[in-house]
Amino acid sequence: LETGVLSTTLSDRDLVDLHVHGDPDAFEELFTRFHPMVFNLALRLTGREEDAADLTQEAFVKIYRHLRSFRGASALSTWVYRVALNTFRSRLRRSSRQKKWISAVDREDLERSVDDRPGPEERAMRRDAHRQLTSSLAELPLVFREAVVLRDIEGLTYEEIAAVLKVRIGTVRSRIARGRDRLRILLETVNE
Amino acid sequence: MSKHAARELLSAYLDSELDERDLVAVREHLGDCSACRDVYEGLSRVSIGLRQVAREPVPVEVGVVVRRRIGQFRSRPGLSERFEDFLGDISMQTRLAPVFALVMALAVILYIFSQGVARQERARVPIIVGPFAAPTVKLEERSPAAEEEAVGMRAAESKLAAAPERWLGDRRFLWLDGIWFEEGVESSEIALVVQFDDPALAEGMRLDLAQFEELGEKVRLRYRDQVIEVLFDGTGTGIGPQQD
Repeated sequence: LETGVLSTTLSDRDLVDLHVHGDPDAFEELFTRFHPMVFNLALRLTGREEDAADLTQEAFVKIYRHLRSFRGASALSTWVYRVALNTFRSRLRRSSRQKKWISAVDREDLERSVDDRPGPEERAMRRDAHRQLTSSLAELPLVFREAVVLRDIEGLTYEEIAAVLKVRIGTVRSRIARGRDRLRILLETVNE
Repeated sequence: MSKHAARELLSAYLDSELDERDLVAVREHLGDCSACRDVYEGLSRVSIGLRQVAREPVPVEVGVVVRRRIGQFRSRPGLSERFEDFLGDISMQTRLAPVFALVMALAVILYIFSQGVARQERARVPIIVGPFAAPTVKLEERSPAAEEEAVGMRAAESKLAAAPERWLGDRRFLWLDGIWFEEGVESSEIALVVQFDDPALAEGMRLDLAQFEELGEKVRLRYRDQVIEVLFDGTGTGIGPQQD
């Protein structure tokens, strides 16, 4: 669908209103705006592109069905993050593949990434460091992983994360700190 | 500040999410404590490293699938879709779980309460309980409630005494308010209402019930372990007491 006009002139809230009033292009534009965000969030939470794609699809179908219930109390992005996270949690609970999701990239993969570490070349090293980080991220308990991903990868403020997770800011601060600290220890152990 | 700074403070310092007092305290501590500085740098490496993780391109099929599924939903938005969505939405179930538990608990309490009331009602004013003799009550000890109860008992007793009766074998039936009641059967116990001509009725049951057909249109009786109401729907050959 052609959404160029919508994308340049309308706010998220306007698009929600248009969607509620039956404009099919409005949801198309919302999808265009938010699906990279949802996909990358899902990718960092699950660690697997295939799972992230499935989650993104499921999340957007839910967003489509429930968008009428969005009251605008928070930013639409906050609401979208929340739906995506809830979808992820739902899947995690009911999936027989839970173990795989919690530890999406297994130890062996992590060790291999260290063993295959390239030499001095900066880009290769950085790529490898990123791989270690994202691999280690999948090792984190879910509550820490969510908070760290929202903060360090998605760039949300503590207040925004509190709104997405529906917890107090003090809890957000604690979860981020503990998640980062576990990653720090994990990476230092791997690199020793 | 204590000997070493808490991880939480160091992490929040990294994000500039501390109030002014804590921010100054952490900054000063980091200047003096190499151990905390090492931890801070480790946390910082993690944070910076994650921020540099590039966004991955979204596979094209994601958009294709979403559009297809939404298209299907637009063409058939029904209750089943919503129910399916509800079942899939564990978070919603989680939110509703306490409400559901509360409703169930209330339902159980109400059920128990209603059973208690029903038992009391049955004990107080039995509709048909042989041998239909009123209990002996000393008049001088009656409270207003007991008096009312006794009046009700007497009314029930006289109604029962006046009710036409029929015997089928050794089973006694009384005609009350347009229904044949088997002796000992109470209205509140009815577990099943059956239409005698209902083709869904099991053949064995039909045969068992046929013996009561001569009573007439509506009969409440004990059938095996339950009280049932049978509607003969005028097809029976039996007659009511008016015609008896």
